[in-house]
Amino acid sequence: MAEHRNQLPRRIFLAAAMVAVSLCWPLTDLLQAQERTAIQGFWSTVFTVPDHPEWRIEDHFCQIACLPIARQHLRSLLANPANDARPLQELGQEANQLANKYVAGLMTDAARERRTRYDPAADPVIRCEPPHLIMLVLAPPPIAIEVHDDHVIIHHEYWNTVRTIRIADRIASSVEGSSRLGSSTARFEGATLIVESRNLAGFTSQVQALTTTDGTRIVERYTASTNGARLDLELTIDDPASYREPLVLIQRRVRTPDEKILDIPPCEAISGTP
Amino acid sequence: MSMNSTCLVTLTVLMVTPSAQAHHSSAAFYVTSASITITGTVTEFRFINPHARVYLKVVDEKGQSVVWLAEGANAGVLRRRGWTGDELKPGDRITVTGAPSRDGSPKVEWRVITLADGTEIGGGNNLPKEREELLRRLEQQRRNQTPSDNK
Repeated sequence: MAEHRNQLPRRIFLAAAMVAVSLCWPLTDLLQAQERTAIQGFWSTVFTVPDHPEWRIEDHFCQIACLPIARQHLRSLLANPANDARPLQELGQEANQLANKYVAGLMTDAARERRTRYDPAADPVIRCEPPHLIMLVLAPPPIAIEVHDDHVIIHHEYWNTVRTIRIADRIASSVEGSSRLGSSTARFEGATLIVESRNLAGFTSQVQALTTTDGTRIVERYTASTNGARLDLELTIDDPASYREPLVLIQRRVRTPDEKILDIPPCEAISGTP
Repeated sequence: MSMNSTCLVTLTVLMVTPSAQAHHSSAAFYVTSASITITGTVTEFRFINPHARVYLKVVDEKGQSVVWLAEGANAGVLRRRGWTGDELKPGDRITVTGAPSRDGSPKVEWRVITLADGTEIGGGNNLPKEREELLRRLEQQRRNQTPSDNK
């Protein structure tokens, strides 16, 4: 009996703890769901919506994507009063030169050779072929993101491409061949949406720094700003055959809830002179 | 297949400045450092990708009529900038300024199109006219900023 009495406070404590956990569990779920939905919405780049209070001057020099080092350099140049008399275009060129030098140091000999062999006339986009995932992700037209319990939908206006990506803790190991969009899975780290894609086919693009080989892995990390007005993408291209270290590019978008996905005009490759 | 110019995602991926755009592959098809001006009558305006196209009839110095092709920006981009595809109609008299083709064929990558009433419309590949205007605005914005705005 005495022993039973001694256990009473413990039982009360356990019961209280269970009640607390049962109350807090849905709250945790709710907070997590709120965090995840922060990236939902319609997002535009500076290329299609050049007037927006979120844009800073350096954003206008990063219309598709930037190397973080180049953006930071331009920002430093702008902040330095010694550069006040220099035209913006000149500052942008300086940042660009830094970026070119950085990427040149990152590229492997094989990647450089691939770029040398690249024939712009044979570019798939010019021939109206659907874009590779890297070009799709970096394309400046708007995107719409929806977050569901077990999947995420990213609708790219570019080529009117809808990506439905399963949320999973680990990427499925797959033996399927490589393709232009590869196979992707999504996960969240806090409020950041991470989409990892493998089994990507190699490609070389008109964009000067981009060339990859079969089997490249890319990781997209989407994070909304605290005020919810901005979406930052960090794209990592992991292809040791092309870059000595993963190539990281950043792209910024702003929330534009009044916009919508537009019908894209048809694509026609030119096949003859006028 | 004739040489075409660039597409939607042709700007340099690193830091995009107007001068940096010279690195994109339109330079493989057009002499981007040069400029020509032609005047003619629109026969067709095709609001398409990868580039909007204007066909125009130009009478050359020998009095012969030649059909020129002028290529502009991606139609998707133009639509985002408010273009509808009705900007140019057959019969419109226009003046096109832009980069001549490398192979000497009657093609031009337009930078500016001037309508008969003198209105200049942009819409060139990589939006050079819009870009110039933007840079002017940004310079103004920069002059008006306090130093702390850039910190």
